[in-house]
Parts: sequence; structure tokens; C-alpha cells
Amino acid sequence: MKFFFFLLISSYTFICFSEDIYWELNNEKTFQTRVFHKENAYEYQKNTYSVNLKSELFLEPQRNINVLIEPEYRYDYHDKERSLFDISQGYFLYFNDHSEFKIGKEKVFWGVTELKNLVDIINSPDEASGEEKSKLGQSLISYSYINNKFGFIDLIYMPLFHEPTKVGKNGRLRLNLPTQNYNTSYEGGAGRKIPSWAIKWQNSFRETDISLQLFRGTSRNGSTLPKLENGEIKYFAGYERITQIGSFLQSIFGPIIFKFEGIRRNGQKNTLYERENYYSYITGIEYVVTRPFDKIWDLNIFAEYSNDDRGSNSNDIFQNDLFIGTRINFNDVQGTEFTQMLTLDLNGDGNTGNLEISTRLKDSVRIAANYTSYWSVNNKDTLYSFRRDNYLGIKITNYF
Amino acid sequence: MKIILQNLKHFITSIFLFSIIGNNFLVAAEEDSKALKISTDAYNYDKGFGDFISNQTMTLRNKQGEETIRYFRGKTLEVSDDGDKTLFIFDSPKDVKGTATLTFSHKVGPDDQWLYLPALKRVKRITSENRSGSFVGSEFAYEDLGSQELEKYSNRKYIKKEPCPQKEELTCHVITRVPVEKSSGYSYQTLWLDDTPAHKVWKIEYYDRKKSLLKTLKFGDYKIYLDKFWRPSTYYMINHQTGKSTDLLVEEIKFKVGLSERDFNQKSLSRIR
Repeated sequence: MKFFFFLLISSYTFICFSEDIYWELNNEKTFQTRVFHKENAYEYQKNTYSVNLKSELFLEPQRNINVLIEPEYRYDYHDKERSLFDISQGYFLYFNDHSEFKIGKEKVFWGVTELKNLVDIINSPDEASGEEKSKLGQSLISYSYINNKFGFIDLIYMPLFHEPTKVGKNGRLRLNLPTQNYNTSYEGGAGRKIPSWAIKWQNSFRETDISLQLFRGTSRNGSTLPKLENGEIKYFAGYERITQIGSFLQSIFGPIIFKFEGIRRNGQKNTLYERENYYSYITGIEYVVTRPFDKIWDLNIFAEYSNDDRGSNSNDIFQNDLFIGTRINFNDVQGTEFTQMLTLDLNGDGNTGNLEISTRLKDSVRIAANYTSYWSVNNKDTLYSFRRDNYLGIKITNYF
Repeated sequence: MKIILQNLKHFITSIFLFSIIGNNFLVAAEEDSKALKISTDAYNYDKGFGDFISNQTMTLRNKQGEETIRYFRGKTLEVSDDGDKTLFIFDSPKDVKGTATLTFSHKVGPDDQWLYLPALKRVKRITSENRSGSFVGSEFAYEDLGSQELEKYSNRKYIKKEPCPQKEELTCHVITRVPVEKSSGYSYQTLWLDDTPAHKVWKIEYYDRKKSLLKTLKFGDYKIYLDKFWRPSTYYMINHQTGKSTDLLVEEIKFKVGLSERDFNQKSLSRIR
């Protein structure tokens, strides 16, 4: 961490003295609050608000070298477990015509579907952020081979495992007890300092994109293990060493994009704390409506089905779920967007809904408001813990 | 941007088309040989530009005259045996800064398009069916800015000859053309091309699906690059149905900067700045 600070300060100083290299500094500060209007289900839970600061320094000392440093700070007023300081990204990148070499910390996205991305496995989730797709930076050394005919091959070596963040006892949207951030157990050869690695091939053939991947290392999604400590039951996190083979496929047929992501994972524990090898997939379509209601809006409709063959032993809340989503971009000067998401559990274990609208107050300020709800939750399902956690969220971001 | 620039050069010949897609034969056969020749000559004149980069400023103006400014950059690579490759990088507003689109246009069939979302670090495939959608909230549609391959239009008709709009000393050929793609927002377009060898475009009228006049685009301040390639510095688009307008100012164009295929793939898209 000290090293990063040093790097940060020296880089910021460095750019002040060099005029001939390209650089950019982008900052953003966000204020976020979530109003849970129902009484808390579990002791100590509170409504809370947070402030987030993010800075990004990009340097291009030479045409084929990029350096990026992105520190992030989050302060949560009540839930101190949610507060965070992290170098969310920070890397050195060298590239030439056929390859890319990267060392540092990065966020990597893999996948094609909308609801969730089964194949997206490089980074640990930033669960405490409260945002579904938020993730932590991953330390890595990666090499990519790029060929316009054969596609891309990425080789990624990850020396460390970054433990996912957890909501603390004062936070909402957690299990009946908070998961402790100590005594984390690692099994089957997993560990914080045990390296993981991954390989991915991807190519595009006109309307079709296809990928194959392999991952071996510490699972990014842990298990929650109840243990007795001083006569009191507490939840602790556990991570296993897994092997995952994944693939995605997407293809365009006029206004329809067909999407598929599938994985086979070995070594992960299920909700009965037993290791169970499984297959999981998500498939569906994105439909683009041109000029809906004769307006200049962009309207995208999503329909996806998600399945996990562990059934009710799955620790994925979308183990047999239907997802319907809509996104409207109004194409106005303020960039107003409306999204709607609905997931229906076909086993009747709980549904989720989300409405969100966002717009620009001025060129450098964006505001987003959302309402998220959980209903028909079955007391055997993870969603049961969120039954009183319907909330109104407001987020204001200032870019400077 | 690129689409507009290429309005200058690419008008259709259906020779390629009818050999590939049989049912286009009928459409092609209806083309007026004079209109087709002017379009083909304009397209051929502009061949060999290689690649270029440009900085652009867009001024969006609503009915009340309130203005909003947007900055973006474009990179284009000429592909000799297929449609061109284009990159747009958005510099403002700040919440979308770093967003970029990559398009591989094709002479026949839909274009391939990807969108890079920097916040998620996601390269997302998008369908080119959204071609009639608004480009960053402006009065330009994606299809106005995309690569104007000759094969993307058919049914050309020669209408008349008259002095060029904004440039009375030149004579313009007025022709109409019909977009081939069904998802286009237009039933047809009318173009004013001058009678110089480059056949520079001075004005385009866009007619909506109901055949009423939707928009007019006027070109100004033509500059010559590499002693051959003409590009306008200003584009003025007005939407007659909403009263809104967009000015596009091309700040800087540089030709033959050495771009190649490697600058136009999903990997390079994700490290774009």
C-alpha cells in the first residue's frame, strides 16, 4: 500500500514536470444513500449513506506504453465494513501489433449476457458496494496474443486472491448474521497467497462472437460457514480451490442478439457445505426496437433464463430464474435512461424487481434513482434475508 | 462523422450487389444510369485515402436555441475489398468520457459494431439495426455518420441540374437514392453533388418513412487534403419536424497517419483513449 502511495505521488508530481507525454486525470465523487422503508429484519441494521471518491491517472509515456493508476476511497457513515480504500486499478501495459503485456492490478470483464455473467471470473466481487456488478481489482500478470484471423488468446497469472468485501452488522442486504472478516477458511488448496491462473480464447466471425475459457484457482464466490465462537454462532467466509471451464456465444440475427454463457465448475461447496460439481448456464436474447412509438429513443428488451443443476442446493439465487429487462435511452441532451429488471424464480423461491432512472443535471453531474424490491421469498432461500430490504436508492456523481 | 465524410464519396453501384444477392437485381435495374455514374465517379475519386483521424465538436441546439457542446474523435481505415473500419471516441460529457464505438462496415449485409463501456471495462456487441438511432443525442443518426458504401443505396434517380446550394458558382446534379437496409429511418434522400471530378456533396435532404421531409444537412468550408481529397469543415443539420439542429465542426483532419487493422479490433478498443 505504501508503495502505491509512493507511486501515486511520484506520478502526480512527474506529470507536472513533463510536458511532452500524454496524460489524463479524471476524478469523480459520488454521494449515495439507500432508504430502506421497512423495519429492519435483523438487529443493528440501519439506513446508511456513503461517499465515494475515485481518481484515475492515465499516462502514455510512449505510443505503445500505458500506465494507469486508479485509487478509490469509500466511506460509509454507519457500516464501517463497507468503508474501503483500494487501488482498484494500477497497471503498466506494453503492446505491439500482435501482443499485449500487462502487470499490476486490473478489472477484467468477460461475458455477453445481461442479468449476470457466469464466465466473468477474474475479479472478486465488491459485495459491500451494493451494486450487482461491482468488483475489486485483481493483481495479475497477463499476456495476450492478438491475431485478426484467429482471435485473441489471454493468459492470466494471478498471484494473490483479494477477498470479496462484506456488508457489516449495521448494513442491510445481508444474511441474518453478518459475515466476519477474520478467520476466513481456505480449502482444497485455496489461499490468499496461492496463485490462480486463467486462459481465454475469443474470436468473432461476422455476426458471431465465441469464447472458451479455463480457470483454476481460488473461487471468487465463497461459502458462508457458521461456526461457534465463545459460545456464539458467527458466520465466516470460506473459499475453495476450483476448476472452471466456461464458454460464451453470441450471434446477431437482425434486431435480435442471441446470447449464451455456460460453465462447468468443480470444487465449489453448495449450501449444504458439501462439494458438488455442477453445470450452470444462462441464455436469452436482446431485442432492439427501432424508433419505438416513432420516437428517437433506443429501446432494448432482454429476456434470459438462468439455470444451475444443483437445484435448491445452489448458492446462486438465480438457479432457475427467468429475467425480463427493458432499457430505454431517450437520446436527449441530458442522456436520460430508464431501466427495468424483473427476475422470477420458477421454483417460487423469491422474485426481485428493479426500476432505475438516471439523467444528467449538468455536463459534469449525473443523478440516478432506483427502487429495488424482493417478494414472494421462501424462507429456505438466500433472498429470505432480504425480505424487508426493499429500498429507494439515490446516487449523485460529480465528474471533475 | 465518417458516414458524412463518405457521403462525399460513396454512392452506389449495384454491380457488386446483383451478382451476390439476386433479388437486388430488380432494384438495381431500375437505377438511372446518369445518377449511378455520378455516384460511382464520386466514390471512385475518393479511393486511396488510406486512413485519417479527426477531432470534432458538435453543437446541439434545441427549439429555444439553447446549446450543448459535445466533443469526440474519429479514426477511419480504408478497406479496399470491403467497407471501411471506423472508431469514434467520446470525450464529453464526462460521464460517458472514454466510451467508444467500433464499426466494421460491409458492402453487403449488416455492419459489425461494438461499444466499449469504460466503467464496466466491457466490450459489448451491438446490432447495426439501431442505425436510425440518434448519435449522442444529436440530430445526426448513426446511419448519417457511417461508411457510405455504394452498395448501401439503390434506386438512384437523376432529377435535375441547378446552381449548388451555398455555392452558386458551381453547378450541382440533384439525385435521389434509397437506403437498402430496411431498418433505415429514411424512405429516400436527395443529394446535391457538384460537377467537379470529386463531385463534392453540398446538401442532403432526408425523407422519413412517411416520405415527409425530416432533415436537411448542409456542408461548408471544403478543404483539400493531400492535394486530392476534399472534406468539409462544417456540417449543419436541421430537423424540420422538431426544430432542433446540430452543427458539426471538424477541428482537424490528418490523413495517412499510419493506422492499420491492429488499431481496429476489440483489444485496441478496450485500451482506447
